[in-house]
Amino acid sequence: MEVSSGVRLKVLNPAGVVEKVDKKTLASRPGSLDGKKIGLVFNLKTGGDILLTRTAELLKGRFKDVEVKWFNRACCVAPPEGYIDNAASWSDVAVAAAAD
Amino acid sequence: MTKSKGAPELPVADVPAPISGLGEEKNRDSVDAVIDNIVSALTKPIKEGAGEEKVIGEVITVMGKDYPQAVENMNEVFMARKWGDGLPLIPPTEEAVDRMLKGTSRSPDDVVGILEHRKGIATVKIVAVNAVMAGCKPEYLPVVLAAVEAVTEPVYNLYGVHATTAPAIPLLMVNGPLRNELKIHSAMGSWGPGHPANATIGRAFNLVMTTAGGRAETSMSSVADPGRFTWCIGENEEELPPGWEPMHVEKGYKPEESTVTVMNVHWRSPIHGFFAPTTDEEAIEHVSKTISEQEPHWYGEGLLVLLPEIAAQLARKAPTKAELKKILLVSTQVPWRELKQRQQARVGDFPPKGFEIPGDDTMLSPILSQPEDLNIIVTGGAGRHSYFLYPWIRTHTVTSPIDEWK
Repeated sequence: MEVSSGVRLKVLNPAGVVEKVDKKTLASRPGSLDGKKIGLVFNLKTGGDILLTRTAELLKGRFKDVEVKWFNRACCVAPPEGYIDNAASWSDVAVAAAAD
Repeated sequence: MTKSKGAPELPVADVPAPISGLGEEKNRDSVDAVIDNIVSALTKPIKEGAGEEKVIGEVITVMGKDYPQAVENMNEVFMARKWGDGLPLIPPTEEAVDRMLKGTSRSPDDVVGILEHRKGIATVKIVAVNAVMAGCKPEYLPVVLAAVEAVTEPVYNLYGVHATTAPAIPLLMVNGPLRNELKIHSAMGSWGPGHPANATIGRAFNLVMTTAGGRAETSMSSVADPGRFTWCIGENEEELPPGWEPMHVEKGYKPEESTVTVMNVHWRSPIHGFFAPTTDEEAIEHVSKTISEQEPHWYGEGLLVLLPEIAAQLARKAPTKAELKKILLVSTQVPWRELKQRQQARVGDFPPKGFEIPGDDTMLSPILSQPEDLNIIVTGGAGRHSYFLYPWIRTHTVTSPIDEWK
């Protein structure tokens, strides 16, 4: 858009500011998944289980002594209280399927 | 969305979507194609520093060779930032916003709510800015404020509504004396164009969702809906059958209070049969048939939209709205075996994973869980059309008082 002289129109920002959210530090990565526990985080949406099942199969094929556990929750709403902490406390790493 | 949760660098491996329609083999192939990315995301250090939202100042200056050019340029700037609905926006100058704020006695800094997923802080002033853009009069502002407040209630589930692939159409329904004071139309053509209050109140609400709520960024709605421009109606309380209460009175408000009820609509089904001579029993059957053909909505609420003469006929069988709801909860039940077959043909996976069914194939299954999950509104004018609106799956209606925002 080319700015030219003439009328200067001052308007207000309609979006405003966002609530401050504490920045999360991502967990450090282990370098290898040998012997690791992998959480599979699933919102019960059709097809997500196929994606996660295949992911687990391939990871078990690539790495030794991998253990997997499913963490299911209802779709389409924010996760219930404690759900993320529960998955995180068991898992060394986690993979979530989020889609439709 | 990961930005609003404080984790903008969270790695994502994209696969073709929607996954639900692809079938097992294609979904497995999708994972095979991205497994290296997944392994890398799980084992290699993540680079810090991506994507906090850039802070844009409160005042934006736009130039133009004359006023019309400046307004046109302003619209381009706003649309580039996804701050609009595609229709021309009224410039929210300081003067225009100050004028709009005279429509409420509340402080401009009062927080109406925090809007998912952007976590935008919707203050009274921010809502007023969007109301100016939409073309509202100041006296409409309390309705918009009440509607924004309504959708921040957890049961409305703005979190899901602003991310779904469904149409997810917000419908604003106004009750009480303010309908007539503000000329919020509830009679002939109440769903349609031609009524400034209906048009601009609904538009302002949707603009707030788009700007402060960030809906344009997060919504995955595949086709969306024209109702996401604006959809605001009044209940035709003057034509309610005797004994039928206005919607807000059913929800616990006094008749002299004014409220706005927000529902998130998935789709609308016309009720057929009323264009032929119809007995009172057939009237109940026509409504029941339409509702029973829907997908079951055990987590949400439906809305029966009745024109006045249809409501008058149904009232001969149901002297109150509550009575009609009880009748319909029973008359719309479907044998579980039939419902399962129908839903499996429609969506494949039914009942949903994790859903426990108490009973066997011979039991009757309701389409809605309880009478309170069926809302009834009388609106519109002469004619024989009526509709059943069924909800997006995990949302409930919320009713908010308008008077406290005046």
